Amino acid sequence: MRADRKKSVAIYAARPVRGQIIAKSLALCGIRVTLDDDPEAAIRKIESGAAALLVVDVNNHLQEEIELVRGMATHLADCLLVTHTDPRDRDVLEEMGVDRTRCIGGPLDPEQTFVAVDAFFAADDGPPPADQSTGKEKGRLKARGRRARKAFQRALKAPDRRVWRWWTKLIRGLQMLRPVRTMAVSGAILAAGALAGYLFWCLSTLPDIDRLNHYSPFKATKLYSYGNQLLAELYEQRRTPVPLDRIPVHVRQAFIAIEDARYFQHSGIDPIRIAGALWADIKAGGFRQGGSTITQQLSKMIFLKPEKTMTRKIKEMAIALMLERRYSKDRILELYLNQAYFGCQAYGLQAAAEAYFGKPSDRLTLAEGALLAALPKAPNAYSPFQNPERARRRRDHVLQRMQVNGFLSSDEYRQATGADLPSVFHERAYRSPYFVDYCQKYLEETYGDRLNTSGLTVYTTLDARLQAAAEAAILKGMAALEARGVVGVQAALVALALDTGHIKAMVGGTDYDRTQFNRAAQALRQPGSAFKPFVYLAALQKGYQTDSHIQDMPVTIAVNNGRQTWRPRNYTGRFNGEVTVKEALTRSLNAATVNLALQVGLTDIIGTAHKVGIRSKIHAVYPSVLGASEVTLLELAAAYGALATGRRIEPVCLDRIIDKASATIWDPGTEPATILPSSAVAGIREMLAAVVSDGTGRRALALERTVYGKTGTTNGNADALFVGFDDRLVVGVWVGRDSREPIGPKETGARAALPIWVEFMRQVPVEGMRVAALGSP
Amino acid sequence: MAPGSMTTRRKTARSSGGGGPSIGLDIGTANIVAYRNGQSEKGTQMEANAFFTVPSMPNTRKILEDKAVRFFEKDERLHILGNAAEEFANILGGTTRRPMEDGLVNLKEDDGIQVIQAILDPMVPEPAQKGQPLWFSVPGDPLDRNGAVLFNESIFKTYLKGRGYTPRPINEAMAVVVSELSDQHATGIGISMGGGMCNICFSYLSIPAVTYSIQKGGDFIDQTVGRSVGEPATKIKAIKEQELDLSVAPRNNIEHGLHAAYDDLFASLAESLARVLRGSDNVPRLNQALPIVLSGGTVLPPGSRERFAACLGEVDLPVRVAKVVQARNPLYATAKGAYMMAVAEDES
Ligand SMILES: Nc1ncnc2c1ncn2[C@@H]1O[C@H](COP(=O)(O)OP(=O)(O)OP(=O)(O)O)[C@@H](O)[C@H]1O
Ligand SMILES: [Mg+2]
Repeated sequence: MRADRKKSVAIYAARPVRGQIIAKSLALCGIRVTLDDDPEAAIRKIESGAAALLVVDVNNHLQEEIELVRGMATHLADCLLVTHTDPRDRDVLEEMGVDRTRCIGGPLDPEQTFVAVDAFFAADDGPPPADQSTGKEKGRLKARGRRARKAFQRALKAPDRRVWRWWTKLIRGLQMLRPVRTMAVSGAILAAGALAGYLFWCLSTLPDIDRLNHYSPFKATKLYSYGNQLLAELYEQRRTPVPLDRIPVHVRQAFIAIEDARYFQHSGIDPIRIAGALWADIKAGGFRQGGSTITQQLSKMIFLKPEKTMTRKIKEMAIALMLERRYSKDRILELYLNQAYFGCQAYGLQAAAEAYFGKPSDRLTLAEGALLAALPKAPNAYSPFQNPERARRRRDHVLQRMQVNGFLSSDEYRQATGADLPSVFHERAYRSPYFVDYCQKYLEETYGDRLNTSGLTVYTTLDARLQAAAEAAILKGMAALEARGVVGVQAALVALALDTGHIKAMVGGTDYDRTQFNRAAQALRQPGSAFKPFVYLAALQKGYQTDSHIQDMPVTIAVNNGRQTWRPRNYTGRFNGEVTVKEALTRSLNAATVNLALQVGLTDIIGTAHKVGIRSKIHAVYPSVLGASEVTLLELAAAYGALATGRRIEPVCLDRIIDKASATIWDPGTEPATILPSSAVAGIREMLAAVVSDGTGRRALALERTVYGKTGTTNGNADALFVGFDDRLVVGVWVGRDSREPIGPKETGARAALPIWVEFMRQVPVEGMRVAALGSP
Repeated sequence: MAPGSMTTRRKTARSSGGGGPSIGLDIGTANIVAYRNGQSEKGTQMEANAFFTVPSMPNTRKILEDKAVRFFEKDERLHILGNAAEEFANILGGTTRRPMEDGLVNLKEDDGIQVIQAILDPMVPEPAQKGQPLWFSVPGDPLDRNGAVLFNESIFKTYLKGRGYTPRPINEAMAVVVSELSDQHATGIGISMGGGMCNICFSYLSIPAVTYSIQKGGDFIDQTVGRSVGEPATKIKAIKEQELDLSVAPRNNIEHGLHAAYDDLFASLAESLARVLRGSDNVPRLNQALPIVLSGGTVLPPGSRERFAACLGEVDLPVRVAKVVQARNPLYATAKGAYMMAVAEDES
């Protein structure tokens, strides 16, 4: 009778749903429950001894329910547990005589309720010790509470009944496992019980294999030009998944022959093979980890951390069994082939085929497939590049296994063993490497580590045709310099679209393989006179007109805190007296520019330069107005873009980013802000057009269309620049040496840089562009 | 209804003892689904819950009969039923009429009840044994409109009784939980976003602890977008069903409208969920995080799961969410849940 009564609970709840929630929760944990909507019926169960504990759930706001509890408390105080919605009622209930530990307030709390019920039965289990308050007793109760809590959570976790089936299946497989055998031999029957617990623990912590449904391995991020030409792939693991039907049958057979000959017969684990491995172990007198099926290897690769423990081995088998139940053999093989590591950063068969043979997987020959099948076991040891002899032996072993398994005739076998091993590693070549670096740096700042693994498709702004034109123009310019005896110089070019700031072409140096330093985006160099337009822009904004008169006269300025004086001179060495603003810029007169700067003020000039897009620090000294403060070519070009349009141009290298799920995740659509009054823009354009028609930029007349720009040459011809624009593009060209030594005598911006600019602009398609008479703005 | 006593089993179709094969019925605003045989979903029928009338002429009648189209005649008009109604409306350039609106029988449609029954008749054959239980879905009470669904429920009960069944109602969203979360103790939140409403059920250990509905769904999306871009709702509906992808940026006005309407629906759903769950005494304190299952035709566009999950992130729920998943077959999930109830009952 008592045994029956022991774990039985009668429940009464004023609201049925709450009652059901309590009842089901307790039942889930193995408590026998009855649920009544009539309090009398519940009370009778206690009185008759059918239940030991009465759980009452009340809505405290109803007087009549409180009264009901009062009634129960007087008769059944020591077998009453009350759940209620308002924690403040605890005191009221306690006054009625309900034990404080058996009042559970707040929201319905199934776990807490179970813990209290369990504690009730715990007290019932044994007579309370004489002194209840001893620390020992408290500790015991606490531990029991913890256990109850755990038990509840375990019960509530998804009870995948399938686990049990795997378990039984597994145990059968495990009987052949050496460690189990060893334990059994050692005769520890106790251990068997422990083992069962251990196994269960292993299985209860298995990963969710449904993940495979949405499984997408790390994928390379691909960069494309604006016109969809692949520029580069960024990856940690070189990988391109292929469907199984693009993998030739003989290649699949090679893998099966060497890794898992009974693949199509077993159900995830291969007892025969385990037995075989065991036998080998016993003979060798040691413990190796052999005998993994392809399915097990896949489990390991995708779900488990690389460690050699028993736990992992068991999990690996359990997952393998689960995978086989859920997925077809073909799908598992496909996942395996796309997941395996082949060395040389190549993950998956497709990447391996490309890396070792420079071809896609569907064109692999028998011998090639066999070599690839040889690799996953030990990619370095069997690498045809590092250990050709071992690689060949292992490949031939694969072929031999294929023959043994009936996949090959002896003729095919002989032929394949005669094939050569690959000798060169096929790297994927990049186009526009400097630009790719530039984008990568930007992307890394935005996406961090995810970049190389998340398979983004990145459409860049690069225009492949313009990029080719830029590279050709630089080559031609270098050849011309060489013909004049100038060698060892570097050059850079950047072209931005005026309407969007899109970087359409970028060349960061003459030879990426030699130096990856990007002279278009990273190099800080003095712009020389190419800085002057910002001085004149500041002047126009202060009310000067292009035909205002200024003085081209000697001027002496104290620099270095008055310890030195600076007397800017003109390139020709002569001073021209009174000249117009336009003349001064067109002829690039230094003295006139400094005089003008003295009128306009350094602060305004520097402010103007920053406003149009110069980010680098401009030192607040007068030599800065002649371009002594270093800037990058890219920012200079962007600033000229503002001169051309009146709007602030931000260089943009990416057009769109699409993630693996084909969603556009980045799509900059900001309109450039207008920052200059149109009158100032008109004035600057007029003057920069005059530089080309009458000044230092005359070489650009060869283009026979209106272009605008400014030369720049720094002291001793260390830097030669031309920055200019037409109606669509702003383009900057720089020539110089990394050592900052002079380029060569007379190698000014007009002579060294401008021809490259002109050559590039010649290639820019002019359709749709306004072809106006030269010189007219 | 007593799903509290239900036991979920992984078994599927089975015709036991005297009863015929089990059927699960979902009578929705847009579609009526009769689910049979859980293994392959073969034998499951789905009919549009719609009709289209044409004048009764001997000729027309003959064509319909030849084509085996289902219809009935009333007041000298032929009422073409179900999927055929939509085909004819398309061919003849009209719009179908609906016996139900916002999830409930539309009392403004005079012939509504008769139409639904005519569509249901062939889907629900007379039972092999009289009194065989038949589970059918009923919507939850719309927020602020308590009791509105009772009339609805009683109409179908009467009809099913008349056909010889013992009708058993199950909440539409609860049926989704049963169908999709049966191996997780039927614990989680089921949401069915249909044509006329969204039904929500918080289920704990297969107890439908909190159920409610909001009267917004696919039709609401079609109508609001149609109004805002000045196109007929039928056109919007077609575009929505065939092209909408919520995971990519909208490409035109209609798509912009659809995105906005979805966002609005999802946001109000998430907001109501937080409010209703917070306000309920039936939501227990739980340590584990719960799955949310989305079903119903309205969740079919790609990206809807992610969007809804994002909306959930904006509200403060009293339970933790483990994951938001889509039902295996969103159009069938409710009927399948009803079917599983029948199978479970059959076995116990
Ligand atoms: N591919 C799709 N994309 C978007 N919406 C769809 C798609 N297919 C169907 N729908 C929409 O789903 C709705 C119908 O879904 P469903 O059949 O689940 O509703 P119902 O159960 O009949 O309605 P309710 O449950 O509201 O009474 C319609 O609004 C329909 O436009
Ligand atoms: Mg529905």
